[in-house]
Amino acid sequence: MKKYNRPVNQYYLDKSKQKVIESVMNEVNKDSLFVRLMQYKTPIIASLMMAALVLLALLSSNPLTGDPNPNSPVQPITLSENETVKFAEVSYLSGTLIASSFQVNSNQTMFLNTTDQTEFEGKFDEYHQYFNMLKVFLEPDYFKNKAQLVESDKEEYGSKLLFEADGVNYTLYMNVEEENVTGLLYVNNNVYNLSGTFEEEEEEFSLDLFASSGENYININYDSEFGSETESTYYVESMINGKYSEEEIQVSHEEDEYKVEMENMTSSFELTYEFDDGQYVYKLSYEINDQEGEVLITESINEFGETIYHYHVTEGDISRDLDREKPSFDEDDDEDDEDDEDDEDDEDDEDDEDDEDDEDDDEMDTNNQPNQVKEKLIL
Amino acid sequence: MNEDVKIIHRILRGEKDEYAVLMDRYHNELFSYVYNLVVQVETTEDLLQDIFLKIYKKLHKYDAKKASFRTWMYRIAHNEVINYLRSSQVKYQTGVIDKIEFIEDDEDIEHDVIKEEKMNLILKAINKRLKKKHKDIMFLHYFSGLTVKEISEVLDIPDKTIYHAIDSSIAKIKEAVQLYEKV
Repeated sequence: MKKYNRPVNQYYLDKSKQKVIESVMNEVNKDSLFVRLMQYKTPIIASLMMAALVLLALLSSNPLTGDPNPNSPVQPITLSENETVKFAEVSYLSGTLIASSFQVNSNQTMFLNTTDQTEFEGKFDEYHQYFNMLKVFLEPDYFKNKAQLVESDKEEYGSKLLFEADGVNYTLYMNVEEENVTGLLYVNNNVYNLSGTFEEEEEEFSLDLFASSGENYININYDSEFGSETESTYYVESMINGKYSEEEIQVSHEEDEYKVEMENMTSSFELTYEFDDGQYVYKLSYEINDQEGEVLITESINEFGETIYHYHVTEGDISRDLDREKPSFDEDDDEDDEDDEDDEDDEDDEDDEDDEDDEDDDEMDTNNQPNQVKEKLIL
Repeated sequence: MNEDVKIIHRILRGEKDEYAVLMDRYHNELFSYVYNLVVQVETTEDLLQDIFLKIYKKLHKYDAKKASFRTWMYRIAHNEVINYLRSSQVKYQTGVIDKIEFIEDDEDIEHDVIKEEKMNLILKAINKRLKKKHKDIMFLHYFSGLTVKEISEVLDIPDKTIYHAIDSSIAKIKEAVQLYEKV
């Protein structure tokens, strides 16, 4: 491993060492009563504290939650409003990413291989999923009024976090013991194992959640220490169908303007919601393989009552109009199964090798299969 | 029981002067790490004082079963430096060494200058091109004496993730440094 340490002159280093040690020892010697007590009286204080803890445990059923059932194997947790919102946001990102990643990886849309194909089209599936997942962050306090932390109705879990986001129901059953979080995350009817850590110290806290299904996983980290009231950053690491990926998602707002930025190993984008040409549109500015471009996204409802997103892509001299249905994580219904039969035959030819893997994906929605994707290319 | 833990026990039993022994053991290593990131001698000394004082105040919380004292100490030091860099808005210093005499004398001055320039470009690339988590990893990887396993302990990130992060970050840094060198 290559190291880049600057070699520091030993004479100055020794001088600095002397200075630092003297200064620190001065502070140490006039340290607070508490520290002195902690040092000199550690055994006594530890015994006293232990006795106090035992007393507290005996006298109180649960000092944090007032749980009336002291025999319950798991206890509900208490979270501040902000912590509840962050749990909801990180669960939402974990659940949505792990659910949608299967679709992105297994259903890559094929575009005509023309010489003037935009970089965006090569990433359309991925960006459509990102857009759908991240647009909720453009609404002020989206999760604030939605997330509810209640006592669990499953006896093996102490708490249940419920919220609905963009028409999808999320339920997180969880236990928090010391700093460890374990749980089950339901995204509509799909279930993912969840584990992680939750650390609180003074005004700061960090949340690191790991959602998995088979060998696929998503790991999301949020640390309030690194953010601010107007900025939240989520570090995402995933392994989906053998593909490793990392993303940094940042949500920020200034006055009434909300912005979501995403950066991964190959591309980055910025998503905003703006009033443009007489209507509100989502504006997505991107850079893919060093090619910059802009997409205006509008929403409409088709004759079947389905939400359709219209993408107007401008990349250099090329422009494209693409339509795409809103993805869904619902399980297939009968009608969908019939519709999908032809597709499955087609895919069998290409994906024989992936058949075994696909079994894991069966629980995922197939509403977003390529035959259902309505696209129009306009040169 | 290793030597660090024995010293810590003595300090916690009331032998406060033993803390000077602990500082003496790790001062140079921490100095080097902090100095490489802040590139200012006085700031490094100030930060080291804060770091050692913080370590002293948290010493009773140290659990030898969970981590070695060295990696526990680096965790505190790293957070302190990163907080300083963030709060002071100095960001990661590039190209400025306030006291050049602080650097080890070497007959090959040209080599030193080139190395210094290269390090500044690397710092610039880390700062500009890497995300927060990867910055943390690469600062420790390049500028501390820690191994990957130890970095994993300091940042509480699995070894595997550290290897992946180093791989992808080195590629990004190389690309950025080549670009900066052309300009």
